[in-house]
Amino acid sequence: MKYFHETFMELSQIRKSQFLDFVKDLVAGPVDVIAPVQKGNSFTYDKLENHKDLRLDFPQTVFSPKHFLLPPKEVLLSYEPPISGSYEPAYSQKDQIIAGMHPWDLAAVALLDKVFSLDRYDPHYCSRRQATTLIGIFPTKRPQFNFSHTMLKGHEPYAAADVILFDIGETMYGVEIVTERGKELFSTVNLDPASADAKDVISKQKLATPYGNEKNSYRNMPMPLGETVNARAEKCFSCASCTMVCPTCFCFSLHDEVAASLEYGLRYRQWDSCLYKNDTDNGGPNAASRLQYRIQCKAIEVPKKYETAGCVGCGRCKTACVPDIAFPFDNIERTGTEAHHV
Amino acid sequence: MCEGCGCEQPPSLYTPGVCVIANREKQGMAWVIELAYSSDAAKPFPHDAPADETGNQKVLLSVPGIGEECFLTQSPKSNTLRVSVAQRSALSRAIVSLPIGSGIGIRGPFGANDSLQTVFGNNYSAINPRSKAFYSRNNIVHTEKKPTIALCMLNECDGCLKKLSEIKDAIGVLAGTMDVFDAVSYANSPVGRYSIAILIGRVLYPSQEDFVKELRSNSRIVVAADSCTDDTTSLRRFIRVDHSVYGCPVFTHELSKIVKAVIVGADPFVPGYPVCSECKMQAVECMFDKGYACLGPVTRAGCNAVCPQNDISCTGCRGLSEGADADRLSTIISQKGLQLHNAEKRTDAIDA
Repeated sequence: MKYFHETFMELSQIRKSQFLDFVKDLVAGPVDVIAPVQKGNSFTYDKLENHKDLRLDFPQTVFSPKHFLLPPKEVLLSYEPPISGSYEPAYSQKDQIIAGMHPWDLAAVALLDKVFSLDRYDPHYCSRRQATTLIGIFPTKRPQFNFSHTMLKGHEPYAAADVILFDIGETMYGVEIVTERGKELFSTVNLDPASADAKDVISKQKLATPYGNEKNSYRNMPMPLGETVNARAEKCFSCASCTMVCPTCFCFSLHDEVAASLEYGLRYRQWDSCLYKNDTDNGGPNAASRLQYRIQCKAIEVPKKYETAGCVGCGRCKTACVPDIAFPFDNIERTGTEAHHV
Repeated sequence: MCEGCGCEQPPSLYTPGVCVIANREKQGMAWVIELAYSSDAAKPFPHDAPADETGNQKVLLSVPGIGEECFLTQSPKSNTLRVSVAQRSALSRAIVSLPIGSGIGIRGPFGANDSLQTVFGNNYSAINPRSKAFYSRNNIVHTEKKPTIALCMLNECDGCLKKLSEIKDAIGVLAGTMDVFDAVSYANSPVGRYSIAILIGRVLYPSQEDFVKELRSNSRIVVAADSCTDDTTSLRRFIRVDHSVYGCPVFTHELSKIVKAVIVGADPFVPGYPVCSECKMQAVECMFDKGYACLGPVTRAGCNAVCPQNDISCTGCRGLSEGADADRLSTIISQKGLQLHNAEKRTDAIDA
């Protein structure tokens, strides 16, 4: 139980209909509300146009909420080629609320926060992050392919969340206010103190959801050995779908493009991947070494540097992979005895 | 407060800083340069890490307008960062042709145990103040005469022909920086001298063969839009091609991007990764998840996944991506018994 986050910061409850009214007000307000909505057969985070589209009972989104904190393509600065020191940083962030974040996605944001603020302060990410309020929700059921119980520590989602919701029955949400910002957001709503029953359900949910135990924690995530990697690499398209849907992958590349007048240019960054086969070959010269590199980054480099899991176990890569080979947890299970522990 | 330039922004990746190429030790294939952190003179920066720990790390160097690339650091003999820059790309050529004392951008080195703050202080990021290299190598703009562009339609089909006016518009926007804009056809030779020749289509007749050869020898850069060619009709069979524009019909925005990059002497960024990546970036639902076949996993990106966005399977019009294995994809597709979806609507989506 020691990995379970036990401190109830401020625990209260709210009727679902009342919460929906609250969302309605938010949508009508000036702040962008990003939330899970249904699109076709799948769920995705999108800007909420109508509060009725909100689906907090979603199992899992195909794409991670990373899209709204670290956009796939983002202009960083403009320059005027012939003029000395002509760099103008460009910022495009506006206030936003991201609602319906599962604990593993919150933990992923907590990791991104560390990556972009600790030793390399990134003003673009950080200013966007500061303008963002995060509302989490604990799932009642673990999604297919999710294995975050082997990856997460109980406190990690709380490092990013402002408010966390719990689905506690037909009519009620449990509300755990985590930060001052969350308190301010909910200041217009009448929150009832949580009943004893509600507290009971919430603590059960917290235990049921994906929290790690010592034995299976990320520090013991095994590295797959050569044969497994080679077998998978033969099927890999190097398409990097796994890194694009990954909520923790943060690599990007920088590109300059001049305007048609050639008088100014824009520098933008876009998501990059260690799985790409390109000139720099950051992940290595062949598919096997690139696959290995990705697991190694998640299992060793990130935990070493940021003291948190590099993988939060959401399982999105499994869903996105066409040849069905990208799956860290699968690695753990299949490699079993042949794996060496780090 | 940024210590590099005194601006209000906190020190960051993108804060203009100072960075001086101080010394070149070797000449030839591999150039060794020193990067020092001072605006006035080559002043070594403190480096406390043991020497054997600091070699062979990755460092990203950039020159605005040209791009950013990954290089390896060398084990330092003194308290300076040494990076070997082999002249193999537009960026490395630009760096080695910089005058001593110029600034360049640097990120990294990555892979060090010590933090960047320890290694660089707060000046770890630097973007150059003024780079002559911008026009140094393929100095098309820098020459006295403005560049001339030849646009030549070989044996193209309806698709590219429809795009012709759009292409002319796109290049016409650039016309302010150019002297002449010629639409050349193999029928109305003689061939003039051009900075850039854009060739669209295939080579079918002997007269065209002579024509493209003459155009090649009279042009500095040849850009080919020839996704429609096979081995026998490919321009590459007859002449050396510097840059390719992919897609059928030709993607105008990519063509203009390449031309602009060529004019400023940079390597144009053309994705080598597959369309799958762009679908994910655009948050487009996967065609395989919808139960259709798609050639996205093996097709070169750069189209912004325009077809899957419009519920059309990728049909691979931009050719194979880097390291693509089309056979394996076809095995997967036939095993699952999937069909391409709405492929006939493809040209409408691209034209829209």
